[in-house]
Amino acid sequence: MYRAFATSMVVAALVLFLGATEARAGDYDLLIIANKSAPASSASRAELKSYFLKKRTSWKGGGRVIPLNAPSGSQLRKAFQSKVLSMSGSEEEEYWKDEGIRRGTQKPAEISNTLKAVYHLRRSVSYVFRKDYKGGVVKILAVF
Amino acid sequence: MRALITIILLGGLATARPVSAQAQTPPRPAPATPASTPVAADNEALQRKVAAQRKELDAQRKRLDALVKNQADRENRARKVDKQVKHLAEAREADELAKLQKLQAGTSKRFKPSFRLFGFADFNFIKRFPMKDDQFGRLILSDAASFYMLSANLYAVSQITRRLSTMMELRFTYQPHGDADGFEVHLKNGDNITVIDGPTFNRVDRTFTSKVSGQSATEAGVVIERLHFDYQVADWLKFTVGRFLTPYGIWNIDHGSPVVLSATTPYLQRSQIVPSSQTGILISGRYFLTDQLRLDYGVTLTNGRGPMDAVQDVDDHFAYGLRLRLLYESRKFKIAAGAYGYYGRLKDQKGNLVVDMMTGEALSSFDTIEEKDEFIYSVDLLVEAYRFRLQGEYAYRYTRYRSPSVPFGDDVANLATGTSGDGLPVNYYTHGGYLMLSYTVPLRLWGAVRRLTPFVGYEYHQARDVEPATTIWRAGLNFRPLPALVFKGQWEGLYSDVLGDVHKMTLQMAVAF
Repeated sequence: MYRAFATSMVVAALVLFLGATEARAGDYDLLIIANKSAPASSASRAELKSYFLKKRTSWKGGGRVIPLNAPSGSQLRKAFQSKVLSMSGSEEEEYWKDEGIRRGTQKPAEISNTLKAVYHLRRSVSYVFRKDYKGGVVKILAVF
Repeated sequence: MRALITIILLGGLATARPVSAQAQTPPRPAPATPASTPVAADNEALQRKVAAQRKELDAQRKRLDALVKNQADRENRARKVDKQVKHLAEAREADELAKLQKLQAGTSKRFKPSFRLFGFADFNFIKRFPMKDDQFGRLILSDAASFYMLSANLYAVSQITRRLSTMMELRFTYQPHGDADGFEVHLKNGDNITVIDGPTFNRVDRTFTSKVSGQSATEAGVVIERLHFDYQVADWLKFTVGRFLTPYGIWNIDHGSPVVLSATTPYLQRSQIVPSSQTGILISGRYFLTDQLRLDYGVTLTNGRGPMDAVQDVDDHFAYGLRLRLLYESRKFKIAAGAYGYYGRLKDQKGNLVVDMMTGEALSSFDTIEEKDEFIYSVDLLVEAYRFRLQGEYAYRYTRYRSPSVPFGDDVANLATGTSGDGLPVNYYTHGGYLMLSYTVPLRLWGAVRRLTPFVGYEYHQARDVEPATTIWRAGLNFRPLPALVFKGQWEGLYSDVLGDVHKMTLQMAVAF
C-alpha cells in the first residue's frame, strides 16, 4: 500500500516537473510580430533579415517597413541576433558601423517594450518572447 | 526585527525594574554601630550593584534609542529608494513614450527631420624597403620610416522627409602642404656636376603668417568626397542627384579604412581607372527576385571626367554608365557578381578673343586642348562561405583621342605625357585588378566575440599599354577588437620595372566615430 502510494507520488512529481520544463522552454520562443496594418501574414528568415539590416525598406506587399529592435545586450535582442540574423552582438554593431561608412544607413530604433511599440506603430515589425506576448494585439509573422 | 529588539529590551527593563525600585527607595540610615558591621557592608554592596545596574540600564536605553533611530533611517532610505525606483520607471516609461511618439511622427505626416554626424580616421606607420640597386625607385618612393596620417572623413547625414535625405562626406587632409614631387637630373663628369634643364624638385608650401595675430599656420585640404540628395520612392527606385560615389566594384563603396580589410588601397582605385565619384544623376534600386536573390542596378548620367567635372561640365557631352549586380545570400553562403560600364567624352577648349584689325570687330574663337572618348568597364566578384571571403575586381579603360592623335599601338615618345614624337597624344588602354582571400577567426575576448582576419592578396596594374605592369603581393592581419576599432598589419612586395622592387610594411589603426 505504502509502496504504491510512493510510486504514484514520484510519477506525479515527474509529470509535473517535465510539464513545467516544457512550459519554460516554450516561454522563450521568439515570436516575430508585426502591426496589424502590415501587409504580411508570414515572413521568412531571409526576408526578416533584410528588413532588420535595412536592405529592404518596404514590405513585400508594399508600404514602408519600420523594424524595431529590442535594446542591445538584452536577452531578447541576443535571441533575435542568433536566431534570425545569424550574427553576434558585436558583428551586428560592426555591420552598422560599416553601413554608415558605405551608405550612411542608420540602424533601426531600439525600444524596450517591443510589443507595445508594434501595437502602436503602423507597419512596424519587431519580436517578443512568447511569455511576454498578449494574444490578439499584433500579428505573428514567424516563430523561431 | 524592531519588535524583537523591543521585546528583548523590555525584558531587560523588566528584570531591571526591581533593582531600580530598590535603588529609588531612600537608603536606610546607617546604624550607629561602626561601618565594619555586616549590615553596612551589605548595604554598600547593594548600592554599588544598583549603581552598576542603573548604568547598564542607561546604556541599554541609549542602545535602544540608537537602534530605533537606525531603523527609522533605514525605513526612510527604503522609502527614498522606492520613490527613486518609481521615478526611474516613470522616466523610462516617458522615454519609451517619447521614442514611440518620435517613431510615430516619422511614419505620419508630422515628420521630424533628423541629423547625424559621424566619420572615420586612421593613423599609420609605414616603412618601405627599396632594393638597394634600384636607384630610380628610391627617388620616387621614400624609404624613411614614418608615422602617417592621411585623412579624417566626416559624414553629415540628414533625413529631411520620409523619402528625401542628404548625405555629405568630407575628407579633411593635411595635404597638399609639404607634398614633394619630381627630381632634378644632374650630369656628372668627374667632379663636375651640371644640372640640366628639365624636371625639377618641388615641395608644396602652404605656410602663411597671419598679419593679425602673427601666428604661423599651414593650410590644409578639404575634399568633398560626395554630396548628394536622395529621393527614395521604393526599394527598386531611388533618385540621387549631386556628387556621388560611382556605383562600381566593392572597394569604391566600402572605401573607409575601418571597413576595408587591407591597410592600402588597390592601384585600380588609386589610379582612377573608373572615376571614383561623379557629378550628375544616379537612378538606382534593388529588386528582390526571391528572398535570397536580388538584382541591384544603377544608371548614371553625369559630367563624366573633365578638368572641373565636380563643379561643371566643360563641354556638351554627358557621360553614361550602367551598373548591374546580382547577389545571392543564404545563412552561410553569399555570392555577388557585378559589372559597370561607362562611356564619356571630353572636349576641353580654350577661348580666344579675336579682334579684326580691319573692321575693329571683336570675335571669339576656340582651340581644342583635348578631345577624347573614354570606354570603361569593370567587373567584381564577392564570395563568402564558411568564414572565407574572396573578393576581386578588374577594371579596364580605353582612351581614344578625337583631337589630332596617333592611333593605338604607335610608339609613345614621352611616357609622362603619353605623346608621340610629334607631340600628339597616343590612344591607349589601362587596366588593373586585384584578388583578396581572407579567413575570419572568431576570438572570444573580453566577454565578446572579436574578429581576427588574416588575408592574402594579389594585384596587377598597367598604367599604359606600352608601360610594364606592376604586380603586388600582400599578406596581413586585420584585428577588430571593437566594432569601431580596427588594427591592421601588412607586408607587401611591389614588383615593377618602372619603380623597381619595393617591399613595404604598414601598420594601421582605423577608428570609426
